[in-house]
This record gives sequence, C-alpha cells and structure tokens, in this order.
Amino acid sequence: MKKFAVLLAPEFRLQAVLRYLPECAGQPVALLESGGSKPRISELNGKARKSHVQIGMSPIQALARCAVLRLIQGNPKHERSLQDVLLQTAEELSPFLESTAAGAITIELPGERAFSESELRQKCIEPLILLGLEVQMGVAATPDLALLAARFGNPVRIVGSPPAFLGPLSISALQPPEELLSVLHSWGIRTIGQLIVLPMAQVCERLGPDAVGLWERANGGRLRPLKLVKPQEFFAEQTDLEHPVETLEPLLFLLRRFLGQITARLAAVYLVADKLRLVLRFEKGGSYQRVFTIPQPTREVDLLFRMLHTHLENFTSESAIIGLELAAKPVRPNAEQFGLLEEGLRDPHRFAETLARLQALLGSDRVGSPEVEPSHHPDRFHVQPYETDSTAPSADNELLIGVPWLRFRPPVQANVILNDVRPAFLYSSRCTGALKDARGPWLLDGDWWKGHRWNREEWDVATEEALYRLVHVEEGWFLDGIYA
Amino acid sequence: MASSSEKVFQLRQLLADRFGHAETQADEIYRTGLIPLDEAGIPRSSLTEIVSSATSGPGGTLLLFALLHAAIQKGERVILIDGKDAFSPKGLPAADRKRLLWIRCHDAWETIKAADLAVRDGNVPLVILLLTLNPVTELRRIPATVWHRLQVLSEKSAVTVLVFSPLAQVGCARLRLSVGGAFPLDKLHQNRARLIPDLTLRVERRRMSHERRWEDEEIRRPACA
Repeated sequence: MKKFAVLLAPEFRLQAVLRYLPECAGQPVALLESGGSKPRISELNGKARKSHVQIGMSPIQALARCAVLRLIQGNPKHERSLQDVLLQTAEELSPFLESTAAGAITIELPGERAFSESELRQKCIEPLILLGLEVQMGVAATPDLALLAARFGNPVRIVGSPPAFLGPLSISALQPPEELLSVLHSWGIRTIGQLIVLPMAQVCERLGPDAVGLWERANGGRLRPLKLVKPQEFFAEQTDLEHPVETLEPLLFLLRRFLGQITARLAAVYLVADKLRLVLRFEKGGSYQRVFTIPQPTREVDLLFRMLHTHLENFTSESAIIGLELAAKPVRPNAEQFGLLEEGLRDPHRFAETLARLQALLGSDRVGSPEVEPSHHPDRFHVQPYETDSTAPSADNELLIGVPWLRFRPPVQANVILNDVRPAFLYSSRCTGALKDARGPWLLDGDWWKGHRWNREEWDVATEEALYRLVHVEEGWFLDGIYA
Repeated sequence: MASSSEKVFQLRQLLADRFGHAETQADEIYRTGLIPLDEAGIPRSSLTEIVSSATSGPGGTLLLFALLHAAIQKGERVILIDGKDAFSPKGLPAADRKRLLWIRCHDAWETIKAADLAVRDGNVPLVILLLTLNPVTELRRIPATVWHRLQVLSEKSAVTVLVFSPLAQVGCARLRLSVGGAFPLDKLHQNRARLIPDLTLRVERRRMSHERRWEDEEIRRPACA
C-alpha cells in the first residue's frame, strides 16, 4: 500500500525571512502582508502570539498589543531558497517529491519500506532543526491526509487508522469556506467524525459542490498522482542585508549559518565542497569576489568556516557590506588510498589555513610558487598560488650551469668608471672600490617585437670583499645581485 | 560520514597526539642527499644555522639551491622564507618550482612572523630562512627568545629549520655551520654539480638535544656520587 509523507514548514514565509535575520531570534516578529489596500499581519511567531497579536490585525493594532513587535516584509528569493532546502531534505526519504504549496512538500514513500517515527525525525526533522527551522511531518495513506497529519504533527504524526485520527478533529481543520463552516456549525456539526456519518449524496445536494471536496477530505482524501519535481542541486545562499554591516561578527554569523545550510544540502546528496565562492556587495556599489580552493574537499562546517574567517579577518573595504553570497562547488568525496611512505601533506586543511594566514600577512603576490615567464629577461616571473596536490617531480638530469646569486630587488644604483670598455671602479651604497676583476659583457635583449624593448649588459665583477652581478641598462649602471 | 582520507587524517592526528614524542627522535639526522651536509649531520626537527656572508663567497647560495633541488627531487615540499626578497627562481629547475613555497619578505620581522606560521603548521618538513642579505643591524635586533621559540616549535611539529645568515646569531641552534670555498670569477659559469665538492663546510658548534643531555646527566650522576 502506498504511503505519503508531507514535510511542512508552518509560518513558511516568516521562517524564510527570519533565517537571514539572526538579530530577531527570541523576539516577537510578525510578517506584514501589503498586497491589499491596507497592510495586515499574515504570519506571526510564537512570541508574538503570546503577546496576543493575531493574524489579520493592522500594524497599529498589532503594535498596540505588543510594542516591541518587529514587523517584517516577505522576500520571494528567501522563500524559494527555503523551498529548495525542504525539497533537498525530503529527498532523503524518496526521489518522488511534489512541491504541493509554499512550505509543504509531499513525498511518495517507497512502498517496500516502513519508516519509523525516529527514522523520520533523524532524516528530515533534525537536519532542518539544526538550520534553525521549525518543521512538522505527517505520514498517511493519501497526500491530503498526510498534509492534515503534518499540521497536527509534533513534530511527526503517523496516521495508522484514518477514522481514529480524523474523527475527533474540528471541522475547521479541513479549512472549509466560511459560509459552509457556518452552515455546518448551525447544524451542530463540529467535528469531522460528525460530518462523515452524514450521507454524502444528501450533504452535497444541500451544500453544493464545495461540500463534495470537503466530504472527501473528511474521509481521508483521495489517492492522486503527484506532480513530481526534482530538487535543484543548488548549493548557494545569498542575502541582502537590512542594515549595512561594517564589522566582522555579524558577517561571520551569517556565513556560518550559510555554511550550515549548504553543507546539510551537500550531505543530503553525499557530496562535498571542492570550492567556495564568496561575494560581498558594497553599499557604495561594486562587489568583492573570492574563490577558496579547498585542499581536501569536505563538508565539515568548522573547517570551511575557519577558511572564510582567516581570510575575512584581514579583509577591509571602504564601504559597508549590504549583501553577501556564498556558493559551494560540489564534487564527489575523494576516495584515494594513502600510501604508507607517502610524502603528502599531513593536514591539507591546516596547510590551506596557514597559506591564507601568510597571504593575509604579506599579500597574495608574495606567497606561492615561482613561475618563470617565457622571456630571456633574467628576472621575469610571477608568483602563482601554491598547489597542494602537485606531484613530486620525476628525477631529472637537467644540467644546471652557473653559480646562483641573490638579487637586489630593486637593483642598487651604481656609478662605474670604465677602463676602455670594462668596469674598473664602482661607487654604490653597497660597496665602493676598485674592481679586482670583471667578466663580461653578456648582452641580453628582448620584447623588441612588442614595442617595449629592453636590453641589458651584464658583468660579473669582483671587489675586495665580494662578487657582484653588475648590469648596464638604459637608465645607467646597477648592482643586480651578489654572489653571497 | 567521514571519507577515507578524513579517517586517515584523524588517525594520524590521534597517533601524533598520543605518541607525539616518537616523531621527534633525539639526534635523528635529516638526510639531504648532499655529501658535505650529510657529513656534517643536520639534526632533524631542530634549528640549524648556516653562516655565509658575502665576503665568504657564493658558497651559501650554491648550497641553498643544491639543497632545494635535492629535497624536492626526494619528493619533499620545501618552504623558503626569503628575508629580503632576493631569491632568483630562474636558478631552480622548472619541475622543482612547483613544490617550492616561496614566501617573499621585506625585512627580518616579516620573516620571523612567516617562519612562526610555517613551522607551527608542521605540514612541510623543511623550512629554510634566507637572511643572507638582511642588514646585520636588523638581525641583531631579533631577541634570542624568538629563536628559542622557533626551536621549540620545530621540535613539536617535526620540522627541520635551516637559517642562512650572514652572522652567527641563533644561539639555540643545534648545529652551526659556516660555508666557504674558493669561487673565482672563472668558476662562476661552470656546471653546478661540479662546484658542490668545492664547498667547504665547517662545523662551528654542535649542541645535544635536551633528551640526550638529560641522559648524559643520568649517566654522570652515579659517578659524581
């Protein structure tokens, strides 16, 4: 026999917005619906309800009941994001999902398996509670009954016998039209159990076509095929901040929450994050984007958070932040087998963090692997990010000619007296004196085809104290380095 | 669900926590593959100072490049903390550059801060501090406690630290070598491998590890009594 489950997020629109407003935690909050002529309260949290605020009140009425009530507007982007979260979590139980309504996901459970209440809690409820969401679940033989059970779930309600569950429920649980409800009340019918004992044909004859649907729902609804949807594999979170953020703490709070949500979704599909992309949008316009490569793909929130934290600790901007976005690139978990004598990194995550700290200390152009540019210029190179997964070089027999020397960056200006064409005397801030010996010149030039030609005349010179590399360029003579 | 690689990290961490001392065996030698250095015996997980100034010739830089090449060819990664942004990457084979983490500092203080992070990390077994071109006045201002902290960190994280310095300044170094050799201008453009034997390395000072010293005291005590 088929079974259906419904995952329901009550006060869905309010919860969708509250996910991005951590400062509202523990406060009375109400969602304001401004679609009609006058704004009205459409959803409210438990604290607001305790303060006697009611749905349908105007903002003035609500504030009169509760002066500290926080009134917020709905956000369709956040609602879509929360619906995706619900879909991805529901996929833990079955791939056959229907996005029945905002905040309600119907799941067709596999017929060959019976889910216990604790299993449903563990798979669907607890991951969402960890994300700070309130959800309920109902399991029954039809989608309509499962939805009704979800409304009464605490947090899970499994309906074994529909009459026993439905009988004592108030007729208003079926959400009939107001007019129909008042008629039924005038007949003295208060519970579903009282309605279903009435003959269907006569009820429909007296109350019209609306009563047919109501009677069907009162009998547990009918079996219908679901409109199947596939949850988007969308591992990103973004928000526009209500107030510009200038300090690190609120930003970190949101990023940690985002990471929790993204990693929960990754865990649901057995994937890990390979890269993280952080985008910060500024109040004065423009944005900042940074891609973090994760050395050992993971979905551990602490590790990922440390990476972001280390980077942001040293991040400064001229403008306050008004929006942020965090996205993860999912990959399958790495299943490599480590060798016994492997020379790999002991802890790639820690190493990545150390690299981030070094980059924060010195700048990203001063930490990495040197990459020599394809040029004959002796000091053309750039620093590229260090690859933690580079393999050990195979034994090479590259012939290395010449004693290496250390460079002066920038080169030290010098005055040179020539004897014929050979340097004979040197004046500079590093050394001054007659040259004992000189070898050269080595003539180098390049980039003449690009229009910014360079040429150099290089000499090795020996003073009383040391050996230097002397270079003559258009600007004059320079000490380029020292054999130290 | 932890992946297999995560489990290996956890196991490594567990072993390191329980048997951390086993990683840093006293008086173990770090094998470089370079005969002059291996004869001198560089202590593993310790600070070694290699004194080479401009007046003593190009031996220090020659040794540095040979050491980088040998270590990387062994399959190791190396961190080079360049105290005066003086390293010339063209002097290293292209294949070796990818395994080298080059940290370009502008003064001794940046170098020390970077060294602290690199040694504390403990992922790369060889960290080299190149201070040859840093002004002597700047180097003299580094307190001895800084070197002592690096020594303790290197022991803890099993990292071998080599300090190329123009003057003897690392008081707590387990080994101090001075580099020399005659390299006239004629020799500067020869095959580098043939120049290595011309290097002269002199052991200026060698200190025993704490554990060894303790053992020695244990042996001496009954004799004194």
